[in-house]
Amino acid sequence: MTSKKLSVTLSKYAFLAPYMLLFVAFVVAPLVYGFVLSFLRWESMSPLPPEFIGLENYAKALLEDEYFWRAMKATFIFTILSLPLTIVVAMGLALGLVSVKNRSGLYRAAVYFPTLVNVAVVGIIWRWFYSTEFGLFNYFLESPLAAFFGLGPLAWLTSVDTAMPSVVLMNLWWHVGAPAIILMAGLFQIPTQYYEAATIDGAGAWHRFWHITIPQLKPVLLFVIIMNIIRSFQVFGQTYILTPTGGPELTTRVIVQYIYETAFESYRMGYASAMSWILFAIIAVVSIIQFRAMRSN
Amino acid sequence: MRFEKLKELPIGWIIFFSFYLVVSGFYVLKSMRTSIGDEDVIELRFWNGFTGRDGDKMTSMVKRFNAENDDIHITVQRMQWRTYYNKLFVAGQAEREPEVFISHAKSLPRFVRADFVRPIDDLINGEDGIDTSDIDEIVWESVNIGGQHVGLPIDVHPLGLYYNTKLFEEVGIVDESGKAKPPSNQTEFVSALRKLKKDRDNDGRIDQWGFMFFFFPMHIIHSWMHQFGGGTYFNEDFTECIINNAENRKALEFLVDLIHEQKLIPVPLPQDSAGWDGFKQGRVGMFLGGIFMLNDLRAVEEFDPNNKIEYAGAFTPTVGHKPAMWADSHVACISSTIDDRKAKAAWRFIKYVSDNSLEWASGGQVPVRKSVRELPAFQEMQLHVAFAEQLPYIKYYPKLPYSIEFERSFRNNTSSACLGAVTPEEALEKIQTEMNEIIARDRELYGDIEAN
Repeated sequence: MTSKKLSVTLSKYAFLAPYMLLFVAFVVAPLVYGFVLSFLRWESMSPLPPEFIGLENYAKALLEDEYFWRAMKATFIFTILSLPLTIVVAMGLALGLVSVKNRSGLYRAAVYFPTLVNVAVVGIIWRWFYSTEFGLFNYFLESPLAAFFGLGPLAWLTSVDTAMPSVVLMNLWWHVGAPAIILMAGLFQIPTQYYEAATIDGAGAWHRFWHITIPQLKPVLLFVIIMNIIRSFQVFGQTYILTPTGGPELTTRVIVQYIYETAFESYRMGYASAMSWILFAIIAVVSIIQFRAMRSN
Repeated sequence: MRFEKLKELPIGWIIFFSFYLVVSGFYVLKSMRTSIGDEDVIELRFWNGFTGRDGDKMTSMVKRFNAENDDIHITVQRMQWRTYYNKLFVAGQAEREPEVFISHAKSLPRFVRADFVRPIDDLINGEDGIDTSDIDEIVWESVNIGGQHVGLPIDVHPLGLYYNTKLFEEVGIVDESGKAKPPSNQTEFVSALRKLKKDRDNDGRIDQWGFMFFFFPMHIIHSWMHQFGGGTYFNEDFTECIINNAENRKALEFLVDLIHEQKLIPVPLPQDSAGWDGFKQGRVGMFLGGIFMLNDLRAVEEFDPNNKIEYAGAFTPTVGHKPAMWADSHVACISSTIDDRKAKAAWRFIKYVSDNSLEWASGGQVPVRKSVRELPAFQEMQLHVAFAEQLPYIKYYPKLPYSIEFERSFRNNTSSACLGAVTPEEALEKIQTEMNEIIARDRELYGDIEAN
């Protein structure tokens, strides 16, 4: 290897080093540490030393713990409700942003703005919006105009049926900006000639969207979907601020919140680690399937 | 890069960086000076969860203490209660806990178990001590864990009744002189609920309630269970949960009946602050809460002086057979890892707060020192005095190292009963099963809880 080649190789690693250092220290190391913990009974308040118990933590979570499954169910419901809604709304916004000619910067900023606000602030404001008796939403829903349309006040965060949809709605407002901007960037990448050719051939707006936009946008769309699913499985801040104690009948206590409570309120580190690894496995499997699907296209 | 002429020098940047270096250098030197410090000054860190107006009170007391004591310097850190406890425990496990910190009485057994706290019996009985007979016995007993007192309660905050005198007078709940009369027993309480519940704008929807819950009413259910003769959750040696007994059931049934049969109270839900919001807006007639809520009422008045809520404080209504109400205390604790010299300094600070607890009380607390409550300045605080009269009847939560797990199970299951998803009996049975599992695991790991 010539000295020039060597210095190129070295400089590659030198550029990577700061990131890798942080990545190993704050991602890989805790991950491995957590994996080891998941096989131990370690209650960090106990004077007893950690004890190796094999797969007991995993078995307990998967087979015995009712609350684990309730939290899993809440997480799945959040994901299932939130994903299609986010994608459809983000797509609509992206299409809108692309077609805006004047002051486009302003509109883009407006769409992205809620994402910049801290989740705690968003949560506290929305909790007030959702207040059943004295909140903003019900104030409008109680008006004669709403009654005319057959609408009435809702229980929002306080009923088993509406608690999770309420969280999803807030999440949508807060978080739709990022996917919308990414999709918008994707839309700009589609060559306009395709549309022109299709128009000449007599394709309508719907055909152009379905046969040009969607196929051309596929990689970006898949990326947005995968990131959204990962984010949805990891949902925590939104539910924790809106419903700190897990909502009516624990319908909004998601898995990350349950893990957090187990680790940092009950100090059952081993058990919490096992549940984290189960979550990690689920996210990993879902992501692999999606990446495969993406590659095959 | 070469600068041919002076003009090409990036003057702006040079000035900016010089300024930056000077300022940061100044701060580094300053912090080094304080951290090396004067050998004679004892540095103490004091953590607490007082983030509201009570926090401002406490911080100003600390400032005064620092000014009056050259040899001790206290730095305060305050956080929201919920995050506070988690941070405190993590800090303690890494042996970086603050020298002085506040804990609620109910959380003390956890701190004792983790060996974070230093008993204060030698300090309180020492030469710079406090006569413990000046503290109500029930309050002093709340910090006795396994025969040792592990902190000094600086206040006690019992549940009490806030009522809107204007609404009461409007619907005719008054005494002979025509003044609003707070309910004291079940009949009066239920009748007040009935009279206050109204559809003011005739749109077919109730928009004024006699009473509504604020978040989840565990404190109220706990109080009512005691009032109905229950309130016993565990057997004597804490080897078994026995919460599903007739008296506790009666209390929960009474509540569920008010919600679902009589429809006098809307369903209480975990994160609904409606009860308190409504009280502040004059749309809820009564509110059961801690004395610390007073700050919030004052804040509303300061924010909008025209929106004056006409309220008063009263004894918690006895809906069962005997008076009882939830209470807890903020307890000042000293870290178990510090040396005697520091512990004495920490004690001087804690005693200072206790001696000046009238000032602390004005931040929304009842002082625990009888001598302070006898002061004329305290006697002038109507709501404080009304709440303080309840002290002989207050009921703390049981002293459990697994108090968080107990609260969680209690809240989740009684909440299901209030929603009507399960019967009161099923809810209590479920708590019993869950707690017995936790007790079994706890005993396996830690052995028996010392009888307290």
